[in-house]
Amino acid sequence: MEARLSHTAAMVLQAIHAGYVYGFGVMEVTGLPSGTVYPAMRRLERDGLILSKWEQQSIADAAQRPPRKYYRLTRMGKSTLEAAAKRYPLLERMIPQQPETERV
Amino acid sequence: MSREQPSSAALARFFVRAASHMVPSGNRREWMAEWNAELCHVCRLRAGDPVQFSLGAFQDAFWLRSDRLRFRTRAVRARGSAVGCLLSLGMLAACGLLACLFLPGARRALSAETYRDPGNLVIISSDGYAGTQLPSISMADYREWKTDTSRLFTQLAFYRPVTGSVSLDGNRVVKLSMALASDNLPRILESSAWKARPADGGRRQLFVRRSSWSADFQSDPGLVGKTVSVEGEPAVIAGIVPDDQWRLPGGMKALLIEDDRQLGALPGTARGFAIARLRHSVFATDRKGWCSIFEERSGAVLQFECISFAYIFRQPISLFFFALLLAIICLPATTALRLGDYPEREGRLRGAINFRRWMFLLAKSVLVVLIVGFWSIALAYAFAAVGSSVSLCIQMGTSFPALLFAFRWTLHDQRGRCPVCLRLLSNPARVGQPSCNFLAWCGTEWICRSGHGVLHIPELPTCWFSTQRWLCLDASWASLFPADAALHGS
Repeated sequence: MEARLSHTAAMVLQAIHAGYVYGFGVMEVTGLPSGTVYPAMRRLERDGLILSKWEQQSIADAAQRPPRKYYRLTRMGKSTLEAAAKRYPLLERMIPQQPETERV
Repeated sequence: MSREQPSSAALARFFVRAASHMVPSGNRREWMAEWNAELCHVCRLRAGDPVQFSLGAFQDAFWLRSDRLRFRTRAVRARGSAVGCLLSLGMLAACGLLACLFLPGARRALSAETYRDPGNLVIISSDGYAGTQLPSISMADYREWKTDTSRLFTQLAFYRPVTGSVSLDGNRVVKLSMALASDNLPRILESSAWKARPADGGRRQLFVRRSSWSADFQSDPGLVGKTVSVEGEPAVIAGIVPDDQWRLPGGMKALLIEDDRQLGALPGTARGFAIARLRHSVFATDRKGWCSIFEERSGAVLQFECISFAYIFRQPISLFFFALLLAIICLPATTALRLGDYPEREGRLRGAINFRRWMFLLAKSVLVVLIVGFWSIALAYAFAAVGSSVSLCIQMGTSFPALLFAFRWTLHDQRGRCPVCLRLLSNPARVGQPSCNFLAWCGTEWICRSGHGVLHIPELPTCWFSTQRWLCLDASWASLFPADAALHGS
């Protein structure tokens, strides 16, 4: 059974799907504060809609910063997002796909 | 701006660190790493106010903490499930069994009969069953029986508990509670552990209990065959007898086998235990475990009881079944046996569900009986010998009330469960007022969390509502209950 998403959760899920894979990136594109985005991502991860991974140390070393945690959709997350898109038709227009060149 | 940035970054890091204390300890390290990495990114890009960004850490940490709390609450609720209940009871029963296996006394109480044909191996007592645990036969009686009871017994042996000192190697002296026994005692027991070596020049033979061998003789591997001095007289250590094979009353640590000449030195008034093997032809009903011998002496009739070892060995189990029977008889006097009315409305309480419900009750009952059985035996026989009145009193005193309580709990628990999913009902709500009992319904309502129904328990049983009644909820109520209701449903 697919979970019913709140608008905020749907926005976060759409943002990750659009290529904004870091928490701060999701904040920037959705305009939501950090106190909303991070708990929403924790909830989505707990429900198995997204997965988190740490980026490779070599990438972080090259950028001279600590490694960041990135998120991606699971198969269930994708199907849930498809259902949410029907419920929130403007979601895709609000958060379009991130251009390939800007992707990290 | 350039001066502001480092100070605000430090403040932001301080906030993140402060918020981290709210995060459950298992997640804290990773959580800190993620927030610090993101904070570093914000500071480097100067994409926003780091302090404002870091304030979100408090909400994030609080969410993690409250989610953990929700998880624990769910785990507590899951304890109300039928599987959880059976698992808990099963674990208690398994612990009881382990306790019985690890406590030597309890293990002996549960172990199979030790001696060959224990139905015909009897202990003779002049004081009924109580006399089987205390020396009640005088040496004079034993001497008399030895000559004129061959038609009753095939063999007759005697032993007298005493305390004696065993001198090892001339310098080490061990004080032991031992029994001075007639030389035919090992033959009567007919156990391989009691096989005596051929007498060596008329020397007495000493059998040592394994626990005593470990404690008093420091597990000396070369002890068997050694010559020791018992109360100044030489004796040979004939063997070490496992504790399981040592079922003779008297609580001795060693057995000193003496021949008739040496045993004859005991005065006629010295009291001890008499063990005998019955003749099958004489006592056809020996299986009952108890028979009486009447003897006329100097015009008076004396009565002696012969109590078989099989009867003594069966005591823990027999006593427990007696307590079980007593508890079953007494149960209706302490609680109502009815589980309530469960009408088969709309076909929801189908046969399979009903069957599962009764099987659950049966499984619970069996498990509580096992729990009480194992634990009462462990408690009673951990420190007292099988057959002793102390152990019998402890076993009876614990098993009967515990069984009564366990059966009451089993019925109470069954009444408080949903008949469909067998989970504990929740959210009790008091409805009505006792003063209006005859005008309107008054009592407590419990609901199944999965939405299978509502249980009405009347405050005062009446002729029209005498017991608790189950009301099935139809599908139209489904929207009020969580989606996982289907998982536990019919």
